[in-house]
Amino acid sequence: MTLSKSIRFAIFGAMALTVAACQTNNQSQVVLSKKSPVELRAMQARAFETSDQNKTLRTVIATFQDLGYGIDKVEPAAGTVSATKLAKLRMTATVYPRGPSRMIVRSNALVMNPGMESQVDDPEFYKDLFFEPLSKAMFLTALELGSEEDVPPVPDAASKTTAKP
Amino acid sequence: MRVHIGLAAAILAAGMLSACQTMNDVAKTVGKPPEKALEMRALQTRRFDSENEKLLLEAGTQTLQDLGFTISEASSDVGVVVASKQRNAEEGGQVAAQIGLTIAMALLGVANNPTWDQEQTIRVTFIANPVSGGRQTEVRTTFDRILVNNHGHAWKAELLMEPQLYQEFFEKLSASAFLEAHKI
Repeated sequence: MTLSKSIRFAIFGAMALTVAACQTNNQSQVVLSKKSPVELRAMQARAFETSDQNKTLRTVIATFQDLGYGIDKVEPAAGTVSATKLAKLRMTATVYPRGPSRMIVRSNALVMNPGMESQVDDPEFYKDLFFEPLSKAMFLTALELGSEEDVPPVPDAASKTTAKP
Repeated sequence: MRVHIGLAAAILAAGMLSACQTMNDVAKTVGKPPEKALEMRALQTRRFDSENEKLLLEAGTQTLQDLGFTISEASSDVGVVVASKQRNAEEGGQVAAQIGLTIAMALLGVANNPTWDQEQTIRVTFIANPVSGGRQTEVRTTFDRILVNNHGHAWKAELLMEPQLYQEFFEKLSASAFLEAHKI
């Protein structure tokens, strides 16, 4: 009797913990990925062999529409577009030239919950559910970026310490 | 006894996993292409024998305004018009059923908070693009809606797939642009 009671108590306690576990992020409005900038860049950016920024942006918009997103905002001068699917998933994409014959498309996805937005950091999501359809619509291969391209500025403490007089 | 505790722990662990579905999983579920993507594309797309994309954007904007939509975003550089409107979504049947359910549950001693659709925001994305290699412009329109319940929460969102809705929109658009709409 006492054993079953204590088990019941343990299960109840665990359930309370389960509920609490899901609420840890409630304070922060946007929950950003904990992955490194380099990892994020690798999954979120691709290069296309074209020099036509307008056409690339149009194709990004058409791809969003094909995937069931509605467009929220477009700024052709800045090469950005943001779109939302079913009030739940928001994507922002930026198209910018790199060199004379390449366009880089960088995307970022957020899952929208009341009071909380969480950054999506699964490489499969970006590959299968954005860059593959985009690449088909572009009739071009989505190229992974080389290590020398488009490296976001990473605060690098090591470079300071290794600098020798 | 140990086996029982082990089993209980396994069930609990499974419960925890499903309770804490990660946001990446949510994104992969929501982000999937619509099931009837091809059918949807045919329903939402028309071609017009004109290279004048601006004319079609203007006609699209006017048609949307005629239908009571408010333009929320437009960019002629990339051929985009976005509009929305709010409408009452209350249906007598749904409200009655919910209240009936609440009374039935109360008789069984269970409290139920009746919930029904109160308001909906219908959103339209209208895109015009030149057809490559041809003297045509392709137009694609997407309607979706977000339902807000009587407690003020957005609780449902869906793409609108009714063929009649798109048919009527394109009829009005062709009349406004003085052009014939071709199905793809």
